[in-house]
Amino acid sequence: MNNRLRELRAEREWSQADLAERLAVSRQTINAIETGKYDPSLPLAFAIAKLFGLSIESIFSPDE
Amino acid sequence: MWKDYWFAGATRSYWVLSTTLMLAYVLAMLLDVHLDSGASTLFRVLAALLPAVLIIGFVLLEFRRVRNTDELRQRMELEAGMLTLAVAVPVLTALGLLDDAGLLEVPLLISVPVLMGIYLTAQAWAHRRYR
Repeated sequence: MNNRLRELRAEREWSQADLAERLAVSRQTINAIETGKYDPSLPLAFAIAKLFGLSIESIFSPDE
Repeated sequence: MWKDYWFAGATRSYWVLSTTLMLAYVLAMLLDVHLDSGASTLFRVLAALLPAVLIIGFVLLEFRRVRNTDELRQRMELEAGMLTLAVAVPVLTALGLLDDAGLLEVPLLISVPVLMGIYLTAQAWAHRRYR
């Protein structure tokens, strides 16, 4: 799955640690999602979408 | 920090309880080793079972700690646990059969450190995978 997490985070000038704190997860989780090593659960994807004020599908997209 | 790496989700009560259990385990093992052969059978059975009870307590404590971690950590613990099972079962079975065939003398007590060694290696692998 592809995602725009790094791009959205950079727009807000947040570090991975900042985003991790806002989502109550570890920095390692943010890094793993950004690098495509880990796909978040649906609740976490919803939390990410809510935090950025976007829909899930505008942040995450399936591999082509 | 190493504590965040190996002990994510550990609370203050975790440290207090795990330290207590670890000390009790060491004492129980020392008791087992130095137990007088003249002690009653009941006492010897209880002394032999005590470390197992303490290990169960430690496993339950670890279970609670893992439940306090985020979803990626839980995934890593699951993968480490599955890898431990996949490696430990054939290794311990092979050691047991070699012992049974009289080709190797393997004390049953080494199974715990072997299991812990495999688990720690599996954890390190899982952490590395998602780094």
